[in-house]
Amino acid sequence: MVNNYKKAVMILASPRVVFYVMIWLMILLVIGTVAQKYIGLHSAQMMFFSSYIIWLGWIPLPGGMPTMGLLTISMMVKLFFASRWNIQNSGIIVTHIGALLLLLGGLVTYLYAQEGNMVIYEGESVNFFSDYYETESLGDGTKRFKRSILPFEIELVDFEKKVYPATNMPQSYKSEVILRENGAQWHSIIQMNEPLRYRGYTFYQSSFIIEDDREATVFAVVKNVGRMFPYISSIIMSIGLLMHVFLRLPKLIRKSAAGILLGGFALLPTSQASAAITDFDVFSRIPILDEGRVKPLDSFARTQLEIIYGRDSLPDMSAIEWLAEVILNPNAAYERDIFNIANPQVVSALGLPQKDRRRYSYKDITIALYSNANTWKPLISMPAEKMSQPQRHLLEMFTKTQIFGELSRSLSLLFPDFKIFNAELAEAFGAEEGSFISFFEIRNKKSFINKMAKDLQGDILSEKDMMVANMAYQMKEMGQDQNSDMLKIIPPQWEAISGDDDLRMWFSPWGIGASGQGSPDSVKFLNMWGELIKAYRAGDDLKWNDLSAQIYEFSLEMAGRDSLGRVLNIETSFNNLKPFTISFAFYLAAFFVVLASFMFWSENLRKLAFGLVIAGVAVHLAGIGVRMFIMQRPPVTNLYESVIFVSFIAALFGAFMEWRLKNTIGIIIAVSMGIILHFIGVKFDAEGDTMGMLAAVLDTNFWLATHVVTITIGYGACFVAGVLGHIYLIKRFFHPKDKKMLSELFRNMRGIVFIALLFSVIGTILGGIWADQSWGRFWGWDPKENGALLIVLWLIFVLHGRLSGDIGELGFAVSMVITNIIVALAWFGVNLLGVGLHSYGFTENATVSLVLFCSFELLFSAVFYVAIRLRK
Amino acid sequence: MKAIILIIAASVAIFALAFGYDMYGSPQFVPAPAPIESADIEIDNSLGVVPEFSFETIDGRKSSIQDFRGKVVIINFWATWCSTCVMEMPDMLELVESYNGDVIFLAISSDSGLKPVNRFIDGHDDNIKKLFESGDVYISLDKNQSITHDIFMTERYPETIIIAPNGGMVRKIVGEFEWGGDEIKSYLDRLATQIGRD
Repeated sequence: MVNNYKKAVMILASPRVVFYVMIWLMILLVIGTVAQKYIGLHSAQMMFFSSYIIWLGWIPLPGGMPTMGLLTISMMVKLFFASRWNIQNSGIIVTHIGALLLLLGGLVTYLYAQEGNMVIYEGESVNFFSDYYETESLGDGTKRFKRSILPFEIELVDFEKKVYPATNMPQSYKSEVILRENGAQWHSIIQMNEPLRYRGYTFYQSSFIIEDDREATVFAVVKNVGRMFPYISSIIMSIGLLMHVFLRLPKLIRKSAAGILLGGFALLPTSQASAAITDFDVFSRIPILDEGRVKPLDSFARTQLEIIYGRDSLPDMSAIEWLAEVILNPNAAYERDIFNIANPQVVSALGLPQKDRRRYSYKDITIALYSNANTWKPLISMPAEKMSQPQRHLLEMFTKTQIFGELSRSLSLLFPDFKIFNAELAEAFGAEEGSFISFFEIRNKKSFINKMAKDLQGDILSEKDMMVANMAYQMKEMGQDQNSDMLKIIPPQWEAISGDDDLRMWFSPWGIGASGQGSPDSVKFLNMWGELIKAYRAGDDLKWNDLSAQIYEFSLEMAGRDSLGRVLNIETSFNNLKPFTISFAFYLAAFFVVLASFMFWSENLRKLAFGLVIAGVAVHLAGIGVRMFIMQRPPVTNLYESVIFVSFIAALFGAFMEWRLKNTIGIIIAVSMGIILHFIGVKFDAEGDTMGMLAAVLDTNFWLATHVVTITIGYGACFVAGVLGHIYLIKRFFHPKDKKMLSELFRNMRGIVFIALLFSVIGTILGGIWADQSWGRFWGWDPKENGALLIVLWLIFVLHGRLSGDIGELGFAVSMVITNIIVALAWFGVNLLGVGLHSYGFTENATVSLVLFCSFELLFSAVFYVAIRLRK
Repeated sequence: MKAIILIIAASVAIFALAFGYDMYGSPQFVPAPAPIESADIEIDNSLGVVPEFSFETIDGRKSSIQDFRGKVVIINFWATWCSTCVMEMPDMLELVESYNGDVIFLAISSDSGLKPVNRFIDGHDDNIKKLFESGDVYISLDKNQSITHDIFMTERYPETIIIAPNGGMVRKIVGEFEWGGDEIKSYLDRLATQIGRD
């Protein structure tokens, strides 16, 4: 009897239970995530994660609850009855206690948490919150969401919403409330990431309603006894995993706790643009407000060219030279072939001639769009999902021409387009006869010209009459440009200079007068730009240099920010230097040197390659650092930045390994990840590299910053383990006898897996904490969250499989290759689903690449596994 | 073994503390914002000095903006065809009147001729008409908008610029505004205390 009891305990406590539970949990997780696309998040969660039994036809399968329950029981039994409690094991034990707490917290939350939302209109008080899903019926047969009564009431005094300047993107919301209980009252403010906690209830700013004449705030309300569990368990698990890493791992990691120290990288001065016709250096540094941030014109030019042309330079001119042409002399820019039409069907739909590389000018396209209006006009009101691929391309082309058209008219009010054709006009305008003046100079005299035009009578018009009529017409046409509002180059002057610098609105040349913000300084500023246009068109180098310097200085003076000049210089230098391209070049060079080292001078060339990798990593780090400085935010906030950061982490790991082991493997890891991820980064930089602003909820926040950075380091470590897996398989196939090297590789692989697990677990939990801080729920089974969890489960699965003996060294290496697939799916794949909070949008191109990558990895691991097995 | 027990004990202790704090700790309340005292309004002197220009009033007085140095000046860009401008004018006149010469009112009209301006002034009852004739009120016609457009880049009527006694442009008010309200009164009060300081 006692024996049987003991046996049962041992079975429950064995790592094999975890191994099999993990398999089932991963299956549930994947199906439950994909199902969200079809049945919605809540139903999928109910069906797969919060369920006891899932019916597959007639077959009952265990749902999420019993699966996690079994895991909990197994862990408890293992912990209390079957563990060897000694120092060597302490890390593992502590980690498991943390995991256990996490699961218990989940149970408590499931059983006791109350949540819902609360809508309060300005000036009103509310003392209940409504459930998200459950309804209750009222006496008269109508239904409403189930209400829970609070022991106090909340009044909304004021609701405030802020947007980033020049965007519709909300920057923050804020509710000022009064809380009343038994006659006592408190004043409080609830805003994004700053909830109000009272009597166990937490109120989060979650949304708002704006109606014609009144505003309401929407709070997410949560009462959760279990909310502290994740916080505590994450601390305990980090301690545990760290203890384990230090106590048990191979020399590689243990011996030196210090990382690689990288020397500071001084910024080189801006490279001088060629002085062919004009020098664009100063011009490129003129500040502009774009996408919520003051940046140099150079960055603005690159962003616009990236949107329209797809790259940040043209074959024969830089972005800033192009922008200068577009805004200062658009007639020349209209002839330039910069619109790429990828789709041949669009070319034929627009009746365009076949041209080299299907690249067309603004003129070509607007004429074609104008004469084929029936092909694109209906598209504007058509929902995107109903469009065919060519239709989507066509609409995209239309949007691009709109942007380009607007941009090119940004300064049209300053173009010297009006000819003073006789003495009468010359006198009226105080200008020389025969000279040209701009709309800006002529607009006061609108009434004068209109009067002249009105006087035109009779059938026969003299040449003068024609000119007057033409002028009046031209003025009317020009007036349509006043919506050209993209070029916000005029700093505000009528607000206090102090205050929140970044939130002040800047103005475009057309917009400043229209919004009533004109001033003597803005007149002076626009006159400078008018002169600059003339100098540009005349090709007058000296005047151009002088005026662009004047404009630059005056912008800084008006902006009233001492540090602005320095920030602009750094950003322009960053744009010109392209540190990520330089680091890529270093990795590429290292790759070729490593190849050569296999043939001759192996040791010297290995050292050279190592040096190149170090240089690459240093430039990479400097680039990330400068980006952080420019953006004033943590390094990873979008997909592009995550790619850049993961490649940095992987390269850093590789360099570190090489430093310790000196066997070329580290170089291979660094170089392969550096190169491959750089190519992936290029795919995303159109969306990500323009350094745009963040949506309100993502704005700099301690938990977000740590979560994203930690999880990205986790991805990087996983990739390093993946590359090691490849190397192991290749070596094992070609040198099966070299047992010593193979076992060393294996130990390194396992070491890296622990590090990957450490960062993935902590990163995932931190993500939960962040979500808890911002929205009041720790875990919502959102696809991206599930993706991160999948990585964690996979790594746990592999480790326990190894422990139980179900996975051997060979199987471990194969699993590492598959880890790459899991990470790629969690990182990019969830975006394919297009549901949930983290979907950033995804191109079809990238889907194909992702499928190709996964197939290749699967094939690679299958071929080597079979080949190695057969040889045995 | 001892180490393990210690770690577990410490974890439990942290947990208990945090848990207790979370459930029963005091929520963070902020004090209600105090009503803004009139004396607290910041006057921004960094917007530059009003540029030099001269003008002639509709009754033939010739002046330069320089002449008003040492007083508070309200420059109002308006026109009779602008309904907001026309509606707010009496309030502005009354406000200026209450300062007994410390505040000058300069209304620059963009009308195309004198006729509509005179008709507008004559259309008021005697109380208001008297205010138009006050020595502190200057009504000028800027026929070619050489001041309105070419110097101040005014496009949205009404636009009003307030000049401090030292000649600094301190504030711009665009569109509808409550000229009879307390805020502008305390703002001008504060500006008026600067008279004679420079």
